[in-house]
Amino acid sequence: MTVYGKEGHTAADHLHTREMILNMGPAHPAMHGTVKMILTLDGETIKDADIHVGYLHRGFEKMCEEQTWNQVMPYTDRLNYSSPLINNMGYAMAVEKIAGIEITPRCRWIRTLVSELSRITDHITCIGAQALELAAYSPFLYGIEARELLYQLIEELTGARLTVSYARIGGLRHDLTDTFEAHYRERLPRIHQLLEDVHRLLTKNRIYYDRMAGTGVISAEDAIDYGFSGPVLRSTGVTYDVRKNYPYLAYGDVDFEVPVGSEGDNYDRYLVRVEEIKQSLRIIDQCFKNMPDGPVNIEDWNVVLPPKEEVYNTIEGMIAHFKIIMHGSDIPEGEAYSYVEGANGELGFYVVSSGGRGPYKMHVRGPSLHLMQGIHKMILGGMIADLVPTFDSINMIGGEIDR
Amino acid sequence: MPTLKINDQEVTVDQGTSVLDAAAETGVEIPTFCYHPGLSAPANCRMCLVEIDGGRGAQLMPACYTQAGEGMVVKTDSPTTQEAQKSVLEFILLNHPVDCPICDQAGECVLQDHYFDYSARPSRLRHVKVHKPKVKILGPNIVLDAERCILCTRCVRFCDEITETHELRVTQRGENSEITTFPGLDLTNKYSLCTADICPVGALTSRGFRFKARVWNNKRTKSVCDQCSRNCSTFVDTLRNDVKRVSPRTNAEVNKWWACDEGRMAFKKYEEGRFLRGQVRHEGTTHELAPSDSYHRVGSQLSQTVEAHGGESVGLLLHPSWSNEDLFVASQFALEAGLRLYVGGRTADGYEDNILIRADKNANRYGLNLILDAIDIPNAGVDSLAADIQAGTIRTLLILDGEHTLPESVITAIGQVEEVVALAAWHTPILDVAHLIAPTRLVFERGGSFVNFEGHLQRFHKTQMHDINILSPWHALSTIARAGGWDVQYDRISDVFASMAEMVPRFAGLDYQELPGDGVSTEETTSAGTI
Repeated sequence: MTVYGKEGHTAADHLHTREMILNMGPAHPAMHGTVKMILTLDGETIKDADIHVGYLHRGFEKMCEEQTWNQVMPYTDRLNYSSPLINNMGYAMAVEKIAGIEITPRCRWIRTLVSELSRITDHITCIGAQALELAAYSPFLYGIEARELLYQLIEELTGARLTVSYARIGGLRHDLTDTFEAHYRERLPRIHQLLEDVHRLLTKNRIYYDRMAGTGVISAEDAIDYGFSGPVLRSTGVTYDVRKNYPYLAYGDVDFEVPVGSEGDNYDRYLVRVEEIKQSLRIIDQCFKNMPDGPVNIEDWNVVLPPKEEVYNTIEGMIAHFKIIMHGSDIPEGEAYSYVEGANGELGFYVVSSGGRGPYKMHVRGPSLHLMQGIHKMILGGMIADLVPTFDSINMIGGEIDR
Repeated sequence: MPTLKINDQEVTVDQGTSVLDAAAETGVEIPTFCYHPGLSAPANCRMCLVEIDGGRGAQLMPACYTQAGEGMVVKTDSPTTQEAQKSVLEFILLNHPVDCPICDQAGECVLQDHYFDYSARPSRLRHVKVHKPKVKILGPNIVLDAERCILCTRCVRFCDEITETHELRVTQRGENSEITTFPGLDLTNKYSLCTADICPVGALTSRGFRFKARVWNNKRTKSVCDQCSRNCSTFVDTLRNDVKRVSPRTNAEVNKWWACDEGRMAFKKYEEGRFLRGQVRHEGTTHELAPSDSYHRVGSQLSQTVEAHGGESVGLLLHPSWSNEDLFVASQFALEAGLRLYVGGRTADGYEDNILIRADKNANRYGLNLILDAIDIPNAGVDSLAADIQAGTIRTLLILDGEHTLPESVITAIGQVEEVVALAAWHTPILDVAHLIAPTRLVFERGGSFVNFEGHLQRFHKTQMHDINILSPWHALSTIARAGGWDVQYDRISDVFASMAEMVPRFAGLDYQELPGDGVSTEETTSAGTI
């Protein structure tokens, strides 16, 4: 008869353990569709992680080489599809840098305003989805309602919720609508209320705090080494924000603060985002206040489409319109790297022009790719359950990684 | 040899060179409308005004008309020049209609290009534009939109200087000026479509091409016109695999800037009666065959006749408009199987002029003669074909290409041949008597080379494609020969050309893939090749 508990007969002697390889993704719901992680697990602890990106490859950079300067704009909508307006502005600025185009003052302010709107929608999506994946469904619904209010505003402005294509080389598709500010003010109290609800549901929620604090930690040194930027870098205590460090558009003329964390964990990233939303609302207020009147487009018919009344009624406008549509804007030879603060960090466009109808070469520095190359630092040694909120807290966007 | 300065760059040119050409030599482009290298320079559009200091201070002068002088200082991008260009464009556009969306020229319009590159300034016009006739038929091929005309007079000068038919004139004055024909005279010269080509705007347009396609959607391929022995270099524009337009391609050695109406409208005749399948005709009924089956059928037909009655009993009717490669394979086949060769071809009314049109309507008679001479194979004309048929020696006749112009007696004779077999791309009346027809490609569907009446060799390219199973004539003949059991092995056109270059001295040293776009003179090759 076997007597358990005696030497040579413990359970561990019979049940030997070994590491398990787990293929997580690319079709796993928590992998946001397009990332595969090959995890080596010891129990529930992650021993090793092999991160594979590239499942959403669309050939964005190569496609751009076949398009005219303005035809690239819709492609940029689909980079970080949570904040397409910022992508629009980033691309337009890069081309304007090559051509040495100085945009109009009103355009500068409108671009700043809509970029901040986009930043808010992006951050709300991230916070809501993160809570959702920790089984907190209500904050997600409140967050999405707030986002919806902003999306309706964006739809009023651009005609689309996501595929906005609002920027143009040398300006914008059109000015703000007459009712834009009024509608924004109408919605603002409800948005504040919803953000407050999310805050009350999450910030001091014991379960949420326990899951978020101390998980997904990365040090400031590592973050810098891996090229992190945006809220993830700032959560480690590094004060780097393109808007502050290298002011562009109207960011030099507005008053706002750059929130930073201290621990570099998921909870800090949540707090940074919450605070950034508040700062963005501050910037939007200042934009409405300081925005001058005037044209939104420069008056160069080699670059910007003429107004429709000129196109339909004068041969000059007609020819300029035809040439820009059929042969592309007239951008001189040259190259430029231009960068903006995307919702996830530094979004850079490197554009080479050979004087042709569109980009000769295009490269995008999407912040998510750099976050993905360091994410193993944040998940190694942690529990597999913590991978989910950690992966969410960097807000990886497939469209931006797999250009 | 005056030396002048163009935008701080010194250049020495021949006496009599225009400032425009001198600038082009330094790589500086001066915009023009009325100037055309093939015509006189009237300097009436003023677009080429540039600031020239010839010793009496800087002043605006037309670059196309002003001769380069010693010590001249030319500035093509000074503020004065730029302002002049903008003003001229504003002036030209003043009464120009807002027609781009409905204008055939849009997309290849010099006015659009120059406005975008040199002005891009908004309109200041506050008046109603002057209206003129919109659809004025000038002749069988040309229609005028007088509102779009910028009065550069290129078309007038073309009819005066090139065709010397003098149909066109400018009438009225100032903003009422208008291009028109003399009363009772139509624009009927044989080169009238060239006026639409050289028209920098959409004033003169081709009636055949009007509203058929937007030019930027067209695919443009280099080709060669096969309608006479001039072999004009052409561009063939296709849209969704359909030929829409044939226009001249500048080639100083062959056709300069021009092409005749007949040659470029010829593609229309292929629109009907195209053979896409083989045909077997027997006692009034017609069966269709897959192209590859029809080649095998022709091959076995020929081999049966040769086995029964010898190679002498089979005749091959060659067409001198076929490419060198086609004719070379045909003659190799005849040599291999011992067949009789006859040369047919197109004939016309014998009209010939000293511009382009040749009386010999066959593209490649020169090339055919080179090949037949080099291979040293007996051949005869269509009259001997009739005689041989009457004598009963020809039992099977293979007609290559249906586009032969044959005398009535020959057609009757062909009707008496036991088996008439044809390899043709489209139906012509002489094929009515054929018992078996194998399809082949139209000239637009295949590549090859022609030699024109002056010995100039040019390559033409495939512009459209209907069915990959229908083979080019050389390939079809090679397939037929193989099916009949003869050894004619060609699968690549560059191999055909390589064998030809070995056997035909005038082609020695030439490579099919390396032939220059403008072609090469075979006369020169001979001297270089034989030394």
